[in-house]
Amino acid sequence: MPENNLQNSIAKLEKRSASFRNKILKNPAAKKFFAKSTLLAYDLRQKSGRILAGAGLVGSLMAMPMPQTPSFPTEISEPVKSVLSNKQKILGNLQEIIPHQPAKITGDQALKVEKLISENTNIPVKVELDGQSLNHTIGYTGFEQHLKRYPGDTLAEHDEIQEAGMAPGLGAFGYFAKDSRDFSTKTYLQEKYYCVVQTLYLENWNKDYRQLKDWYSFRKMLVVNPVNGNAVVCVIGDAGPAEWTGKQFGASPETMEYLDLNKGPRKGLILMLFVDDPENKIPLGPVNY
Amino acid sequence: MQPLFFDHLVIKTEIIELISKKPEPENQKGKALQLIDDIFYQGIVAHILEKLNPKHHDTFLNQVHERPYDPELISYLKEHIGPDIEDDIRKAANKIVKQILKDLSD
Repeated sequence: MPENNLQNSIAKLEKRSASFRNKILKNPAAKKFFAKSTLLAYDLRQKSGRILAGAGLVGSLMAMPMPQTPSFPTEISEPVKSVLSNKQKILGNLQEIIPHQPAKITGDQALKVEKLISENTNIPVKVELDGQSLNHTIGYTGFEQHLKRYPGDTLAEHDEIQEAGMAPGLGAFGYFAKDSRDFSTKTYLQEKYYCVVQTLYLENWNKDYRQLKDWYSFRKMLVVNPVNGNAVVCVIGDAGPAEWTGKQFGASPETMEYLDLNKGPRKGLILMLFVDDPENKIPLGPVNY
Repeated sequence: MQPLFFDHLVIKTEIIELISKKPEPENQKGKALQLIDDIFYQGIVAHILEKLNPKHHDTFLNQVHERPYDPELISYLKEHIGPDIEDDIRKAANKIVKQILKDLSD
């Protein structure tokens, strides 16, 4: 297999980012401050957008001259026309393909969904991957609490939606990082964008527990809200919810916020698909398409 | 893309052109661009903290957190570091550009 140059460059860029982060965190004020704030430009830009939108300033600031600054997308960007058309394609077609209640889809129906989502988001998705499939492809998701990312992690150290609280126990797959020194951008994003699936009700879970736990833990998934087309790439961070809740899935506060399911009953029907990403190229977080 | 207070001091044209010419999938390019955005933010904050008197660090960081887009942050730095801080950030950003271009070209 030919060597992937950009992949190598990304590894170097990650090292450079880590080196700057360490430099900043040697500063006592910054160390204290960045326990509650973010060191990710993407998050800060999102926040900037929310503040400006709230103040009705986006238009005026965007109109200000910003010399020599080219457009710099933080995710895959497409012209606005294309954004609307891809989302509209998914929204229009999904309504016809999928049932509007919790269900597992298979056969032609599954192929149609995979094709529709993969082609319009550029994210290869599967209803069944490596012979594994969930009991539900469509189901209700609930608003979960934050999870402990490493031993000693506290709610105060989570930078967003602290009102969601922190689950008292660990997720079914344990901590995201083995300790605070191992905590990185990768594990930060994994907790920010995690989902919950009912691995515990898989037919062969009790028999093949060890292999299945390894396969499902932190597995990358795509969650789509079929009502608005909003989609988030996340990882499986916990097992559940219990059958009696009437829900089939769960999602982190940030994921639910992006899906626009964080208001009212904080529950909604979603599509849950495996991301076929053996080389780990698909970034976690909201999908811009 | 929503603005950050130092965006106008950073010229990323060469980086974007280099990445756009790469044959790898768009998702991977997006990941690289996101990392690069983080590097500029982290590198510039680290540079400012080196220049700024530690007694102003808390105020500065809180302002970045509260109003990341605010041009007044530059005014604050001019007052507490010196009138040439914009040139200084520009130079620091150019240095980071060179480092990133090296990472992308090696």
